Amino acid sequence: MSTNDFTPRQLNADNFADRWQPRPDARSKARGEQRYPTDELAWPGLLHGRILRSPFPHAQITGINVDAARELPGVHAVVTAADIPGDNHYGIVFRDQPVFCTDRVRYLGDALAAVAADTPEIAAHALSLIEVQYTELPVLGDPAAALADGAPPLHPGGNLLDSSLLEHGDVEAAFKACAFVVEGRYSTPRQMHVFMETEGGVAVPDNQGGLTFRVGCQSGHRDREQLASILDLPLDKVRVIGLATGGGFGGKDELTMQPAAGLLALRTGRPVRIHFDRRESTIAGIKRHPVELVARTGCDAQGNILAHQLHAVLDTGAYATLGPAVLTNLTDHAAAPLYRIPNVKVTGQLVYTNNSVAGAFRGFGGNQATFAVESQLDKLAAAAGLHPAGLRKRNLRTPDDAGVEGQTQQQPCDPRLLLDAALASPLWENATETDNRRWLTGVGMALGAQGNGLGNGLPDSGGARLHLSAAGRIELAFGFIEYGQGVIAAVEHLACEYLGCAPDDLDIRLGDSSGPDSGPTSASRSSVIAVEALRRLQPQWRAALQDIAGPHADDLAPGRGGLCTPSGDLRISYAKLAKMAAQRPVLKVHFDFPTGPDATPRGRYLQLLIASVARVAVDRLTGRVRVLQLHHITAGGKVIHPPSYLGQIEGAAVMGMGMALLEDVPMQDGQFLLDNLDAYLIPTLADAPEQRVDVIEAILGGDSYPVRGIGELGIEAISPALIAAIENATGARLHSLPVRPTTLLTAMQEQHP
Amino acid sequence: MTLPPCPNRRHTQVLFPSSAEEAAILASRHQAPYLAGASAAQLGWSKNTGWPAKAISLHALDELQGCRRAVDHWSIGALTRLSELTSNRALCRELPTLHGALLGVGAPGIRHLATLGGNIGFAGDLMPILLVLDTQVDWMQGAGPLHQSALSDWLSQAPEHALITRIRIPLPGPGRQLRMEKLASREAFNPPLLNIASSWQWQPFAQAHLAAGGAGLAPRRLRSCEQAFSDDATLIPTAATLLPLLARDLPEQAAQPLLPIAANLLLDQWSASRL
Repeated sequence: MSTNDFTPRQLNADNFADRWQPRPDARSKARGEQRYPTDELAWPGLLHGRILRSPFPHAQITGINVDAARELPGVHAVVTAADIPGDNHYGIVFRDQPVFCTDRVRYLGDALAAVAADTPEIAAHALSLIEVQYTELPVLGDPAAALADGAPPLHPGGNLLDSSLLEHGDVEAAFKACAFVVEGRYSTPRQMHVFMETEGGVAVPDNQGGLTFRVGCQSGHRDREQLASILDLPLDKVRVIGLATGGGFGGKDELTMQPAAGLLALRTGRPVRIHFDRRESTIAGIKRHPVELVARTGCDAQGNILAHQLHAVLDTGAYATLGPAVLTNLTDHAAAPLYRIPNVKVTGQLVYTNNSVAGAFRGFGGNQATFAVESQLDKLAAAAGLHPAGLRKRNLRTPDDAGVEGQTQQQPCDPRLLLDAALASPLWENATETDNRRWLTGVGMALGAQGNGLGNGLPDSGGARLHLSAAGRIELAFGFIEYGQGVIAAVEHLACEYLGCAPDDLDIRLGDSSGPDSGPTSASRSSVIAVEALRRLQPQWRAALQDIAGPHADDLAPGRGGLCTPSGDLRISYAKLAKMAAQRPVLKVHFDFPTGPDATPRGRYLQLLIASVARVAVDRLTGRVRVLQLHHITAGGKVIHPPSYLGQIEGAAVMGMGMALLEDVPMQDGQFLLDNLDAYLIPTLADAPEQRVDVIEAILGGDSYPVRGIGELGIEAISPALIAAIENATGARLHSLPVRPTTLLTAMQEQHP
Repeated sequence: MTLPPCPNRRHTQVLFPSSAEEAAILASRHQAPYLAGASAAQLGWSKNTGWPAKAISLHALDELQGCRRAVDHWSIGALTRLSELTSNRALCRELPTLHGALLGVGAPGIRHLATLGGNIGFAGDLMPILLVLDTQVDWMQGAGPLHQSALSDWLSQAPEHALITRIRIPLPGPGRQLRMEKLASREAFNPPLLNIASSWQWQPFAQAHLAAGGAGLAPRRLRSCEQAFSDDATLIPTAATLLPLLARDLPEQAAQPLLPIAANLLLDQWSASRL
């Protein structure tokens, strides 16, 4: 592959004027008119459900009595594990999490029963009347305790849920040849998604033995399969409609309230709504894996990296959910995929504990690993007397290099372009100013990579459906769910581009399991699926419409309002075509996510790159950190909808800021040390810095896959960039996130006693 | 940590007294808390402590409202909302440091609910600045008479179920400089990790009023530190000299990482006062 001269350009309204349009849902959301799953309060006969959760992190259940709860006026059903008609377990990878616990609870928040009542208050009161006898068991409060000899197994296979190994070369021999070797112990926190809308929705029985779930989720088709199994219903009796949701970020990838709501709806024959309040979401909801990483990296005297070794331990909490997939992705990123390192060994352990369940979260293990890897490179550069950028430039991969497992990857561009652009960032001007009274400023940078799709050969496919309705509307359906990431905007723009129509011609249908299965709305895969679907649909659509139009329509093409001449004049409207058609076209496509030419796909084929430059100010008196400016250079393929692109990069960056500087759900002996947003603080608008996003739109290799999913890209390199900036400002390098003012102040004082 | 037991908030019986005296009597009789803005109270009750069986609503008591300038002090009814205080231009002009402290409490939505009396009752963010301003509180307990106490004295022995009726903030004399800084985790809407306030006078005599509060730190005057400054008007403090004094004033923070930060902030405020 030849080198390329793509250059980044700043993304703003001036250079994207023709595509700088509001999202299709912008008006309804800004005006407060958007209806969300937890706004579904008008169902006739609606009952309110609540779930009883364990007060202990680890205990045997010796008895449960729901009689008093059942007798409370206003209560219509109380259900336990005994009432589950099908499989009492769920989980995307391993179905190891009980809908309702039977003999044991494994974390504080484990579900035991559920109640449906006339009001939420009656439901809550009923919960308090359920008697459960527990015998407390020893708590495994961290991975070390869980892996210790004699630790009680939390699951039949023991407490080591999964392990990973990625290795090439001989690291031990290579370290002996290194002139410089640096070591580091890193830790990343247990972060919460803090979606604005907590988990919730309604299960509605259809009076024919079936159920429709109108909920916040991320994969209606996959959830339908699990729910059918739990409720012992045929698949066609379960419908999941993933309504436009107030945030996902991975936290709604797994089932949440659906099993309990579904069972209560079946039992009562009435719609049942369950909505976690923030406290319940904090305790019972999915978290980002806290990770401990120990790394060793070495180079020769010239700065060629010869060896890199890393061991990661992930606390996956009580149940598996997507933990194994997170471990795989972390392992890939921990092998420093951006760099040519001849000897690499990465090992990982995914450990069950009695802590909060960890699973999918934007970044998916990659950003935790990148924090450690990029930090190691900074330390190695310092040890070798090299500029951090110089060390990176010497060792950066080329686009033609294979991935860390020898796999074929499609890079968007030469990573050197991003490194050079990052070094040219205006943020470096006056990098270390000193406000004589209080604030020290510094600038730092880091590189990151991200892949699209489920990866590693996992079944990964998607599809779409295109239909001309009787009213002449173009109905385009995907299984994706809009949860704020802007997939609806992307689909609208892509549809207009590929089908030639106007936005007003379109009715976009998302998230219905009775429609096409596009796969999960996760792994930054939606945009790629959307483009591939529309590419395949476009010629079929054109042919179908020309067929309806009859002879002499060969020179007409789908355009705004209908079939148009080459000069764009409307000849036959879609409404007329619909009337003309003997049979209106219904087109379906389904295909595999692009995984490249390798017989055994490893990692993720489609890659994206980012360089993040951060300018911070550190208060010399208190150790507080302010993020002043961020500059991202992104190679994420074609920008579909500029405001959404900016929103995704900037929003992900602020989420990464939260992980680096603010957020953690500390646990001790399985107990939560905080339970709500009064103590779990996320960045507010006042903390969000000025951000600039530069884009390299062109993709090496031409048009094969011009679009990438950029939902997770912005979080990838933020943490190491901030840590580097803090070190630039203060001389202190920190290894543990989030950075606490007291810790930084102590480190600063140790630098300058 | 368990989910809240029933009865929940809907089972709390709210009593509506027609006067402050009646409110104090009811609170004492029923051992019940007061309801003003309840922004902090609700948070506490929704956690492990559970909702009270009875609560005394102060909302209808006009006598507890109002912010007015007396000859030498500001007289503020305990039920006055913080948002009313932040929009009082004269108050902002005469007590800009207090204004800054008010703006740092919660967020606008909270300040529309929260009251000055409630902030004192819950030892909130405003305590350190109020302490260094030599604030006085009018209060009553049960059927007893109206008392007036220095806020610092009231804090050290807060009478059970006492009702604060009015807060009196003396005007700082000429030459008195006030400083306050709240160390928090983010730029806006957060509880303080540490709150340091100071009031400095150098002429005709040196006098320092110093106070601290914060997470897990009951607000108080820093008497040892104050004594050091009044003993030696020429004292040029350093972080090292302040640390043992602060350790005496804040024994629960001794050898804790916040103590050096407290020393740094106090030193910074002293330096600024000397400019």
